[in-house]
Amino acid sequence: MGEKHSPYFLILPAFLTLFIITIFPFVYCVGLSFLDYNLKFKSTIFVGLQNYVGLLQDFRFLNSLKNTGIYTITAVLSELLLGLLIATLLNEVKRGKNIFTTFLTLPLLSTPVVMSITFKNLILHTTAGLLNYFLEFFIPYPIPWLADPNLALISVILIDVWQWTPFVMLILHAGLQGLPMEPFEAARVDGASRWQTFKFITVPLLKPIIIIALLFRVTDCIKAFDIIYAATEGGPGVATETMNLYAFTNAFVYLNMGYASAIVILMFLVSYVLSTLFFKYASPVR
Amino acid sequence: MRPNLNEKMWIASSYLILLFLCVIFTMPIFWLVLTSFKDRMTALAYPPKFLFNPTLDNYIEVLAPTRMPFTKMWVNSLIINSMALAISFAIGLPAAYAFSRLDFRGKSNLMFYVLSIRFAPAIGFLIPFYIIYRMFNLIDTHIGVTLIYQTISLPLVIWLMYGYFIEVPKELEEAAMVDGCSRLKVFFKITLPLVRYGLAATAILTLIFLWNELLFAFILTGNNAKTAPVGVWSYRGYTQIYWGQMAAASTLTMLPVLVFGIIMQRQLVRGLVLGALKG
Repeated sequence: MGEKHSPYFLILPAFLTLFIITIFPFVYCVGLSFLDYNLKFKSTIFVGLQNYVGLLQDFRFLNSLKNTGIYTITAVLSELLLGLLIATLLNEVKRGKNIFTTFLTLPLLSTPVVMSITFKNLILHTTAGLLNYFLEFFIPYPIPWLADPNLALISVILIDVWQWTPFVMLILHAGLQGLPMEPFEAARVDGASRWQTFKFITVPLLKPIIIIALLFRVTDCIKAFDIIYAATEGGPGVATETMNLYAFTNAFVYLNMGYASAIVILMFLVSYVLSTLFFKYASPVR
Repeated sequence: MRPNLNEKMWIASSYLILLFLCVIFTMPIFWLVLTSFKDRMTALAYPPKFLFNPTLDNYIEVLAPTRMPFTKMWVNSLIINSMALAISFAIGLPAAYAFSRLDFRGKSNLMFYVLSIRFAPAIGFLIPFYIIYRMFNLIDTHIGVTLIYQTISLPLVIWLMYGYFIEVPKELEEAAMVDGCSRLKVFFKITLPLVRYGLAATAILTLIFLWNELLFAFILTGNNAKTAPVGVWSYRGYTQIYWGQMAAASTLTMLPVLVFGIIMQRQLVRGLVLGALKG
């Protein structure tokens, strides 16, 4: 086994496995998306692009697209701002920093489905929830966080922000610690205020790291399943149904694999764009 | 002394805000754990009770081999995740090593491909797996879940170990090879011992991600191979009445990840972003 061929021997088992479990399913999905393939009715009919055309006229799909957009933008922006705030604060304090970090990391480690069920039953419950108990002092009537179609999406986003802000915080904090000292010292000598230093030095220097956090969060929000499904199952009605949940319902409730695959292919396209951006701007390969 | 006082005020308010955020962010977990020690009436009490006589009844009920064998699900999680991890290490380590040490055609494209799996929608893998597993009777088997879990663990192991391998100076290996060692021997005698901490970190980080997984296990398992997170989900039918038991099962599910996560805190960042950052 010469040095020239050995790389391929070393990577062969891993890539053979990966091809079988990812490329093959992807191609399978592409194929399914051109079929009317229903496991319940055992139908297999070639329908060409009909599934894709159908999506454009499907109110539920367009609604899920809108929900995915609102969910992703609102959650990611809140998490970035809050995460940046906490990371900056952690950088200010000397003593007790590790304790703070440990406590603030706990939501990230906790099992999403478990915490979402907890939020639903113990925290955001209309009549028995902890949040409404605390709010009783300010608002006289209980708020139906997850039961009201107008509030449900915001409430689910709240759970996402609770769980994933620590993710952004950890990444940005690691980024802050890796920044060079010189620009900050120069700014202090020049008498810059805290806000000026933050705005003109910290944020621009941190930009690549912010992009990493942003790309991961956007990706995971589009794919979000556990939190939404456990809290609302997409309801009430279709108020919190995202693209991912609609694909899930089509595939595993209606057993309409062809139609579900068409949605999945659209999601693959989005994920391809995001991973290309990540590889280009934030790749660990140097 | 004005700027000094200003500085002190700033630090003090930083502490206050952090303390406040810590309370907010840990409250739901704290409340869940607290509920797991409440008897049925206390768990249902409104206004919520913060002080009460703690009981272990919920844990006894959940762990007892009765209606819902939660212990079995917990062990299922352990078996499936360990097998998934072992396979990922067995085939992922050589690949990670090749990426870090050797140059070959298509290397960059292959690395991008591995990375892109982290971004791909999991449901896209699940649909074909589900259809094929139905054909071959692989639904509700440990090996079936283990196989689809490779879409999570294998890219993670390859990328993380690549990051650790690349930190080992090439010169060390080259020196040993000049002395007549084969590359295989160098790998086992020199490189692996040097990255032992990275191996442990990768293993624990991968386990954290696998342990919390729901979607695949939710669809592909039933009474035989159900994992702990799916088990908690199946308590939802009872949650209106048995909140205490649900809380106990939830706490038991999260415990290993919380403990290992805190131990691995410094390495966590690396795992979260596939090594794009070092903690």
